[in-house]
Amino acid sequence: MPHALLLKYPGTNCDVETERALSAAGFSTQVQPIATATPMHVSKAQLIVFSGGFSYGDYVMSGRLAQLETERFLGDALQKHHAAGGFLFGICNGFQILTKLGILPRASLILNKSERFECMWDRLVKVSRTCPFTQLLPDEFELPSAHAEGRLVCDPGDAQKYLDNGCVALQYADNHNGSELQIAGLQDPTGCAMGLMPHPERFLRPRHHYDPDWNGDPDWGWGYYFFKGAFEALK
Amino acid sequence: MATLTFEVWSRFQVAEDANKLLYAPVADKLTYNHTRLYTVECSGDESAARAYLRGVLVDPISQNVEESGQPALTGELLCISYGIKKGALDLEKEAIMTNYAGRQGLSFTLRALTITQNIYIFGEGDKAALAERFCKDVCNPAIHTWSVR
Repeated sequence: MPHALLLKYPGTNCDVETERALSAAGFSTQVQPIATATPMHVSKAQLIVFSGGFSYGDYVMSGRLAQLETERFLGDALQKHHAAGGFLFGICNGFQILTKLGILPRASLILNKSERFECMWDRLVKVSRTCPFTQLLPDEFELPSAHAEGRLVCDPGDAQKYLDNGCVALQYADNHNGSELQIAGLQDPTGCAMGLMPHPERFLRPRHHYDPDWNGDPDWGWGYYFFKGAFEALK
Repeated sequence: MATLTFEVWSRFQVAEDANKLLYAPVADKLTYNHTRLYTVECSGDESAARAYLRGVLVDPISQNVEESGQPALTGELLCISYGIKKGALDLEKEAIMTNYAGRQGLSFTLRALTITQNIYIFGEGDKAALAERFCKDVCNPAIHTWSVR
């Protein structure tokens, strides 16, 4: 059974739902506070997950202190895990942390164009065809979003480059937060590492959808298929 | 002992309507931008400290930084600088200093850190009266100290 390690920081608040989603997909899951995490924990896992929340109160900028503390406690263990083909998945604040750690293509997630926290459902378009996390999803689907700092920005020209070379995993159909090229999720060139702003763990079951008559899938919400896709690739 | 300053602001920031800062709007057409000023007292290898702090405090993709000690923005009608009162808990400062304290083998010592929010207000009007209005609505005397220039 593939093993997932979910790293938890002060301010992480989506770890319970994310652990539930990982277990539903078939993973054995360990939630580990960063202050007690060691490279040994990383070496035992096939998938490292960074869930949503507001790590360290988003002080300095979202994900920065989590990045610094991860480097302090784990050194380069995550980079080694990544280089060896291990999977990494970042949701919302986890996406912000993965970009800061340099595991995903160089980008930054800054304050939404509205300059405020926004909580809504997003229509998403699957772009990448190589990412195990999105492999089982339809071309268009919905997920809930909830963030203040979700506007993806890059150095000039980089967003187009990511779109051209397959590093854009997902785009927004409606770009409410003002992300460059409507990017909602990035992946590394192999697809083994992925981050996205919307919350797949919040749409695990059909009953989680805002429409009580939603009938896209009889058993699972679209969010489930991110975790199932990773499980299928790792089992 | 050296004093290093890092005034950081977003490259993507646009001037906003200053009435957003107030409970009741003023008639003057004013806009504002904001920056964050980190003032650090340190000893030891100053260039290493500067490089470390730049890595911690500044996002090279989305932010600009002014390290000369001069104001980052110019042409303002007034600038309100406010921060957490001495002795009150500043969680951002604590988080930064805790990470620093956990680092091994650094060639410098961080002695103190002060974090200040700067609100630059642009436009025309009665500076003294407007300063009073903005300070009243932006700053909280229970936890903040502030100054206006």
